[in-house]
Amino acid sequence: MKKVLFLSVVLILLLAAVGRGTFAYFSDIEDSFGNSLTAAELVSVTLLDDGFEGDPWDANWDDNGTTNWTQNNGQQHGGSYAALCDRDNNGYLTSDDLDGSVVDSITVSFWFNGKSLEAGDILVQLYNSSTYDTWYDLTNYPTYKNNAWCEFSEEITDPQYLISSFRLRFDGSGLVDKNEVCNIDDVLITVKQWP
Amino acid sequence: MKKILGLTVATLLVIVMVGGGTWAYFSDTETSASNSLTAGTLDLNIDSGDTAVTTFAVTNVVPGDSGNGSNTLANVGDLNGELDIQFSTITNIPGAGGGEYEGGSGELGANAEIAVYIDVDQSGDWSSGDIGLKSDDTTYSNPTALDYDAIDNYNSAIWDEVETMATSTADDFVILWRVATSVGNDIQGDSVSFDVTFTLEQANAD
Repeated sequence: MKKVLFLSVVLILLLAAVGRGTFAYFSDIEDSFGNSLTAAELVSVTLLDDGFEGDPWDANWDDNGTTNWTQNNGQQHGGSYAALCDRDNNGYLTSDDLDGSVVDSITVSFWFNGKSLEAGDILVQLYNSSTYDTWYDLTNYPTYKNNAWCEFSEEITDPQYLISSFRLRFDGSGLVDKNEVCNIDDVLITVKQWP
Repeated sequence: MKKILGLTVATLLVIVMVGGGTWAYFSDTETSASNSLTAGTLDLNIDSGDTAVTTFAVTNVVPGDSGNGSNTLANVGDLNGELDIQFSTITNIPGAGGGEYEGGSGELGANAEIAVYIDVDQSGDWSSGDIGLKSDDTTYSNPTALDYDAIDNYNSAIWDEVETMATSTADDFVILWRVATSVGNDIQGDSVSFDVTFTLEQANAD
């Protein structure tokens, strides 16, 4: 009993000593609260939205070489016209320079309708600031069906193409046979960038 | 009976003689008046008040952004005090907008960096005499370059006795922040937040 009493007294004295030591001094507290950073979200910005409806129809496709392709009002995906490539109107259809230098990614989408195409007839190419690299052969694109409107949609994240002179080129040089036709319509090029 | 009377008279005479001898010394009296104790005051102000403030709250932060926030700390009491500073736990909140890169655990605190210092001379920049606060609870001084570290690394950081603030002096508490251009999409919509507590203590309080 005495031992318990003694230990209790010692404990009380110890707590009292510690408590006095903490509370006895002067102090004043102020706070800075809710300091925060909140990141933005990437926004989508359209660089090119062209259904070849304008006048001239190739206004967005003439700065990097004039094209032999032609405006076609007989078969279109949207609106009244499309861009047509056949053996009489083949070659390149190259976009004007688009600023893709401060973006996180570029998304290219368009609709295409090919008829009697052979491998390599219509190539989708990207400019790497010195030359053009073949990105896709439309005849091998997963959605491709002969004589039907097919959607192409791909995202570019490779930095070599995220440049101030971004260019999309359709290479129809190989389209030389009779009955081979390809229409391109509703080209949409968007970028994701920080606001 | 005569003998008793004689002794009594003799005793009284002795008492009178002794007493008369005492009263005969010189003496003088002075007074210490109005002795008192008055407690001093220890009073820390932040931005001229005692109300919690926010040092910075920035939204729509993107890679490459930077900025700063500051508060003025003033010892307006009549006692010198030792300044302690403590960060709270760092809270990361993932973006909730449902975007492609949102969700996860919130990565902004791991990617955004801050440098923290006491601008002792209130010059508005990092200069001689200022006190840098590193994320490892230590301090440093100019001309050592400002030490930036990920916000997450300041989790519950404590700097004890950063400085002694004399009465009627003021310093600025400064936080510089930056988000590197190399930071990826993971931070989209994320938030990171924390509180800071400033304690002015009586000297040698701990």
